[in-house]
Amino acid sequence: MEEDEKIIVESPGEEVGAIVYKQVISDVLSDLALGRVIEKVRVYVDVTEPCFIFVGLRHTGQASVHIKDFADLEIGEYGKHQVLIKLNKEAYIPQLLEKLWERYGRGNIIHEERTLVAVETPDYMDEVDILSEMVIDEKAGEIDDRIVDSMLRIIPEGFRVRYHQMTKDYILFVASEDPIKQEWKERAQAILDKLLGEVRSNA
Amino acid sequence: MLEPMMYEGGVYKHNLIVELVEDLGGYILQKNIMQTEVVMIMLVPMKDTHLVEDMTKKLLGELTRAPLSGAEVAVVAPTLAYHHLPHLDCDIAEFLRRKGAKTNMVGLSRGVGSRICQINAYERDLINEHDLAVYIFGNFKHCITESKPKLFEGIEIPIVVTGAPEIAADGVKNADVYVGNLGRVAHRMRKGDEMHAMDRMVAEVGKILDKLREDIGKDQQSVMPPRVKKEIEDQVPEIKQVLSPLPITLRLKGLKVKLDYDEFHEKIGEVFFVEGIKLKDIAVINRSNMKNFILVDIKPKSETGYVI
Repeated sequence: MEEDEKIIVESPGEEVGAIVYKQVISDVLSDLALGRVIEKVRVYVDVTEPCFIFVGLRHTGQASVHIKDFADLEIGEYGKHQVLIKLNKEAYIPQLLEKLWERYGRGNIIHEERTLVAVETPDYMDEVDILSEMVIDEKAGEIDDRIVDSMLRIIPEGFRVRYHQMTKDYILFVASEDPIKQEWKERAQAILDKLLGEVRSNA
Repeated sequence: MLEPMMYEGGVYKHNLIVELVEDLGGYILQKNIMQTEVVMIMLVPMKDTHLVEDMTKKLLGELTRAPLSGAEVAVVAPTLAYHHLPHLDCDIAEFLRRKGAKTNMVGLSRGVGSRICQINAYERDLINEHDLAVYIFGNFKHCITESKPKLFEGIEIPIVVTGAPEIAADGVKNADVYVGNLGRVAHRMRKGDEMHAMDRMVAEVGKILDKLREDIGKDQQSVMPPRVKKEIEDQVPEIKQVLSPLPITLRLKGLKVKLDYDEFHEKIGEVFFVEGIKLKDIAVINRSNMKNFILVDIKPKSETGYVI
């Protein structure tokens, strides 16, 4: 079924162009590891106008990573004003240290053992709760950046006038080298509505 | 007649090849040593190629014909952004290099878009310094046939155009030939049909260069460019300090010497030949648009009246 295809590129009078462009899109999405993030893509290109319309549906994003997700926190030994972070996973160490240095200063972070980070702070009783809720890796924000990057790579380079909508469900881009016409926006909206309708009817 | 050839083999004893070619009256145009491997592009007298072949066999190397040797080709992309680079443009440049050409990649400053694309005077002059230009365009036929030919304005050298759609070989205005199946892609060229398209592109470039050589042959150059190269290397010691991989680049019409024009153009002009002639008598020495290098255009026999 055509509706089930992941990427469809439509371009009146440019059959070869549409096929190659589909390849470009799938290359860019896989380069930026967005294959699982973007569910369905519909593209309409008319080079005589010229206009380029890109509509993509997104999967709902992953949750952010907090310190408590990968570490146990406790107060340091008696007499020491410290919070101890015992790491269960080493994957987030770089981002964690970056955040801690920013908040407490480099001198107050003691990282002598691989899986143990000590934070020197006078308010250690309060900080231990704040720290456990601290967001270390914001997946959603990073994915948004990657999606925007992929858009800029996919859109023909000369098309510098752009109109876009980006929500957690979909991305819509209209690009051209001339001012964006209302009819292009309407066409984009129609493609989006159709795509959303398909998804709902499948659900 | 000299035959352009490429030798690939180990560094060990490769000097035997160099000496043999020089003894036969040929020229080494380029020698690249990469760790234990060496790649040499050379001109060998046609009737003696079997001697070089025998020596290559002895050294367990590989000898292939390099039909594009001695030519400088401009690979022109609409811009140097990630939309065009690195995959397609670099692959095309590499394919041309493997057949012996010297390629320069030219990214236009405002080559993008259909209505808005343009080329400026400096870019035009720079491209005109080459023997041939390969323009790499995108995926849409309308764009290639209607909008992009603007970028050929003022280009006096032969033009090869590549793009994705199938268009007749002479279907692009003001271009010499069009090669399909090489459009904008975001992956490395490695599939069968892509490699085939690259081979076709190289073959077309070779055909045009052969024709250019034939045209030049009708009114012979006063001296062969490889001989000038050798004389410059012997008489201008500063060329040895140049770090470019190819300090003297051969072009069909002459050569490009990668020394500062203001400092060295007189010295280059004073290079003499045993026949008692100076280079400035038989060549026009100009400033190159590329980094202030020296551009030497050798005059034909009809202008000087003799061939040395």
